[in-house]
Amino acid sequence: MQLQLQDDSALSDDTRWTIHTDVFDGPLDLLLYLVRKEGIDLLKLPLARIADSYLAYLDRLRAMNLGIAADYLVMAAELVHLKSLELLPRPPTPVEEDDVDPREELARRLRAHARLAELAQQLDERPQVDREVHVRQPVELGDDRRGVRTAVDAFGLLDTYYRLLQRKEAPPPEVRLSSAGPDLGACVTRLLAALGGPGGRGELGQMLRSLPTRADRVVTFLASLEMARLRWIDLAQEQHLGPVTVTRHVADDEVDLSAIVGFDPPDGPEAEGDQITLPLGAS
Amino acid sequence: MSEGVLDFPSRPGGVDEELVFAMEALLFASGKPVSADKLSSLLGVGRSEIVQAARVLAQRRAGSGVVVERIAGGWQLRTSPRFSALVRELRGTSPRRLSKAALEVLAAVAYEQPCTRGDVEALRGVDSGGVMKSLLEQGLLRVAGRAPVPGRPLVYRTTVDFLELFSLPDIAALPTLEERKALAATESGEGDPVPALRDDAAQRAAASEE
Repeated sequence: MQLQLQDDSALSDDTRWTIHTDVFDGPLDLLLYLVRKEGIDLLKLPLARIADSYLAYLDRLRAMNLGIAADYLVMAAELVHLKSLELLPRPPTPVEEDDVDPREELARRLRAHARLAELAQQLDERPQVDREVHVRQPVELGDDRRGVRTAVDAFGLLDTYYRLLQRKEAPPPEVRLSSAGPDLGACVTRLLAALGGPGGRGELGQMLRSLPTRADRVVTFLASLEMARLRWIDLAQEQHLGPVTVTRHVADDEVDLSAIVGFDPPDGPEAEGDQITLPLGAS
Repeated sequence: MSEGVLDFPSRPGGVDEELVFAMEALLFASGKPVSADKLSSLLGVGRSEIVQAARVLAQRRAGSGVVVERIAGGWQLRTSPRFSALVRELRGTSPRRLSKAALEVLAAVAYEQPCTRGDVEALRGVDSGGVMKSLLEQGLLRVAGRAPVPGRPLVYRTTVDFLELFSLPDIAALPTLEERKALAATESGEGDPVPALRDDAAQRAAASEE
């Protein structure tokens, strides 16, 4: 185990250390480390011993003035409970205890965790893009070059002014009184269809304005936010109040409407009620 | 294009030289892996010829500075690992490192998929919401619907970018269940019938796939 020690003496006169460690990633990880350190066979887990060394370890951390995350305390409580089960004589009639041996359950979790760590390491050993190998366009991972940039000049203002005028001229939304609002699923599929296949683009405002009712516009707008969250589409706005470009990522066979929050699968054909086609695809 | 700008006879394998060159040009221009179907429709030849041409191209480039690799169901041109330090210097970047937590989450999803955040956290024994959100944003994980269990939690899968990042031809190229069983056996001292990493998630997958 390697702890990085960092002297924080500038803060006060008593010696204060900040310890950064990413050695243990949660209680299971610590437990696994202890089990391995003591050379214990995962199949015959001596709980009393494990619980003791785990608690001793937490004590040591506490003595070093470390905050201990709640997860670790939960595991400590669990271990003490298991240890007590082992030490106390069992009542003759088993009290509504699960069939599973709690020790076996813990050992199973530890083994799964050990295997996962192994697999993660194997994964890390593979040649990775931007580490061992490079491709012509680096894969765009966590692209944060996008975002709002306000670069408004006189022409930008003029453009915005004209756009506002145009927006005023757009036909006012039709008000329709009906009990059922627009169907979320239909709004999603309609928007995707208007964008065409993966890679298709459109302008969000223009698409929304082409819808007849206000409710349709609102629901489609909300659906677009949800789809952006699921990374089915990408929403990009170059500048404040500028056009919003919608780019479709999702392929048809990847569209699963049940991933949309608030989506209720339609029970009958009535959901097919309103058929509106967006007049535009790419812009 | 297939008709002969050939100054030399076709190779013994019977692969059209020009086809190999055209494929090289396409792979260079794309940057991303290009699938056999895409190449086949662009070049107007059958899949088997594409596969053969790709093999010739890969052989020819092997050992050079830019090699052809089978990635994410297609082929991609990549710099040889020998020159990674140089390329990084040119680009002014440092090697990308994924955190241990991110690697564990990716491994868990890669083997369990489709799986929920709960499945991942059960394996890791620690809250993984933040890591998964970040991986989702990086495009290495994607949401693939909801699990048909109470609460309808989101289920996750790895993406094509994941395959590309880890230089995988497809998801099956990860060590298989059998290899992992062997691993488990050496670990616990006996043939363990593949615990945790699989069972319930696989059943659920089977249930949701119908």
